[in-house]
Amino acid sequence: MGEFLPLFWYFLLVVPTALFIILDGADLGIGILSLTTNESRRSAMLSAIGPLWYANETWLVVAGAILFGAFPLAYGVMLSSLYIPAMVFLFGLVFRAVSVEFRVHSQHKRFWGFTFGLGCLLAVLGQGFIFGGLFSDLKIESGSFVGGPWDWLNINSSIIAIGVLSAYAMVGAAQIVNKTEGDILAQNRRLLVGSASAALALFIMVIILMFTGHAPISLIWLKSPQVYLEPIFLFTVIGGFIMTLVRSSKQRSNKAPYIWSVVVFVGTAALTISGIFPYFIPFSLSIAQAASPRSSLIFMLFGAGMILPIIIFYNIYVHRVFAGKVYGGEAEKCNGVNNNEY
Amino acid sequence: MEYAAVDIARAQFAVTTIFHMLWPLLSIGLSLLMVVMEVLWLRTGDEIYYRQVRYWSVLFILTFGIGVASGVPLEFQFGTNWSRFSASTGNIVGNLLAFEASMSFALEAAFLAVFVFGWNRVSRRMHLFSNIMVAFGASLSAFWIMAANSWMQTPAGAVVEGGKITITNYLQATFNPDLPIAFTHIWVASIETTLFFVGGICAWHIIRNRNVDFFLRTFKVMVIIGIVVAPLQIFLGDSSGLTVIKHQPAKAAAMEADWVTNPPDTSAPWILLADPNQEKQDNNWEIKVPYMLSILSTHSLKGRVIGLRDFPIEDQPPVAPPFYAFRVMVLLGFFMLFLVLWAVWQWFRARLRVESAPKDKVFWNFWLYAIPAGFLATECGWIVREVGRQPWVVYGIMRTSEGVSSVNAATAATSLTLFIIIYLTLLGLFIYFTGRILKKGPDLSSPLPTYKKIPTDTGR
Repeated sequence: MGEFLPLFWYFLLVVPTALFIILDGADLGIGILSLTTNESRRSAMLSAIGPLWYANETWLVVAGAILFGAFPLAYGVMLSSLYIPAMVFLFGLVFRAVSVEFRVHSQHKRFWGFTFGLGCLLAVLGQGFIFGGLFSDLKIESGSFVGGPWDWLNINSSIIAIGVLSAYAMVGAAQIVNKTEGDILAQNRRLLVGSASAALALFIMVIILMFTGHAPISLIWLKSPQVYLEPIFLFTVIGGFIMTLVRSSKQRSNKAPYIWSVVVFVGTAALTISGIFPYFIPFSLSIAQAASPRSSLIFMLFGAGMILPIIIFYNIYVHRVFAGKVYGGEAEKCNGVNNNEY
Repeated sequence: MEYAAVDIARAQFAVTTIFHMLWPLLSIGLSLLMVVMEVLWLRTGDEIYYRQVRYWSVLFILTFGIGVASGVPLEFQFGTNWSRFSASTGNIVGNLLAFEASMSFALEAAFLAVFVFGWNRVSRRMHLFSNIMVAFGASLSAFWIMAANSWMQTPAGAVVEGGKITITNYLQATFNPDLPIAFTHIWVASIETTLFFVGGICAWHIIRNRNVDFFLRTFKVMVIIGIVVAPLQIFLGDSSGLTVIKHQPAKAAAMEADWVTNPPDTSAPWILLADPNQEKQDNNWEIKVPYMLSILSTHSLKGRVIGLRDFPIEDQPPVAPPFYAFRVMVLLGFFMLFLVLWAVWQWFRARLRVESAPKDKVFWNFWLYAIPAGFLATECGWIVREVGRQPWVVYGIMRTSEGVSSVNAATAATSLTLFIIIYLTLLGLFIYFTGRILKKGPDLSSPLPTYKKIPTDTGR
């Protein structure tokens, strides 16, 4: 029972984190891809992000706060040891958000379109290096990070970061295929194939590096039940990649590549979590060590835990209100102000 | 090195908070204004109220967007720069922030999409509901943020054992002594700040004789709210002061640059202006009003008011920032009350009519240049609150220097510099684009919303 609450909260942390990565990942991926195209296409691509990216970014805020409340030790150690990528990530999100807002009201749409893409790129690189940096044997002594500010930067973390970047581009392209029509759709089918192939290659590289380079990982993977689970997850991820590639070249379904990309993300999450279990920060801090005291976790259940299903419920409602293909740059329309100057 | 790291971390948190705060102040107030206008629109069917909702929502979206953008880094700074504070207080401060994120912010962000883009996709009732959820989420956010912050001011329901903070009673910790007044004071501050922001925009248009009818309507709503809010805020400020005297006497003494406790049967003079000198533990010069501090602090002629010298020097907050910030805040509070009363007088004299209103240039200019008043007053109040809490991060329990991360000073200094540059740019751009929206004026010609027909409507 003592073990149950930290694990349950770990699950409640994984859910919003995964939702953030999948839902906002597509938005960020679209942003990155928008850097590769011209202004008129960029507008159409951005309309695929639609009005929901705030709701998607909510999951980051929820996950961050749960991390702080339920796993304060991990929250402090992770963010202070990965200070630089965390700041890159946050500044990237700032650029992204304000570019969307200013772009609506500005005549310099190209400029804000560019800063939007740049913000997305920074946010994704930041995320990639946070993820990769966690596998850099961060030095932790008595609940505090004691290493240097650049400990997160190495070949492994760089490969992981580029892999994350390709995967986000993949899910972004899949979302554009899902949400738009015409030549944007055709162009993004090609981008989708490219990014999915790159992500698959990098994924395989990372798996080999992890398995050979990190003794604790191979130990965990050879334990039961991981020895059975990991091949299943590995198969899911690779299968997801292959299906994304296969379905993206076919003209039939526009939704399928997006769904298979999501399978890749979910599979990778499962693979990673079970692959480092029971560690929170690989090989130095366990889930139980990182957790808040029992009383705090119970208190949080009332305020935040029970709310999560409600949030998911109304977010499904909101996503349904805006389901389907976007038409005519609806997100760009802005009726509140008079568009003819005095 | 350790010393420098604390100062940089403090500076960075202060900069981020001071900038971030501007936007939620406005978005809480604007969200309530939009609810009022949408209710009026649905009740009266008068088109102008629909245009009001749309016009103010353009500013709201911009405000909300920048608020989120500038606020997310704040949420993560507890970890990046204050990891030791986070590790020891995550079990309460982190919990309350998790409540904020899940109960309120998530609500606000999701329903904002329906509110902004759903005019033709959902029913009337659902649209109004979304609007209310946005406003409710915004205000509830402020409540949980203030719960976390007020626990740091008056940490109830906690014991310290061997350097670890353990929460013994979560209800006491959440509803700590400072929370009721702290939340009310800042919530009313958002309404008052927005009132003067919106009032100033109305003034700008009315002076130029543009859409006078439209903006006079908004202005009158603002005046009605102002009659309640401006005096209420002064009363709340006084109550807040009494809470500080009771629970944080060192902060109270710093706010008044009061160094010496008055001996029994004498009264404490109120220092109107002074040049506080922390090293001398006295003021270089001061202008005093006899009896006044006893009256203000204890509501009696010879009440005892504790001076700062009663506290060891290492437990004293810096005096000058809270002392001056407090005076600016109070002055602005009365100035805003004066402007509201002036507006009531104008209304009473029938000067708030479409034909006659634009002639009162002086009156409208006062309102126009009062746009920053609420923001400035609130920022000053926040400086009093946070600087006055020093040297503690959790009052009486944990020193600020004990909470900081072991991030190296050069890295932190770099991020601090970036924050200053980026947030200053943000503020500049926000003002620029708000100006553009303002100059364009409301859209009075686009078609009315179609809404989604609810099944009962289709039978007609």
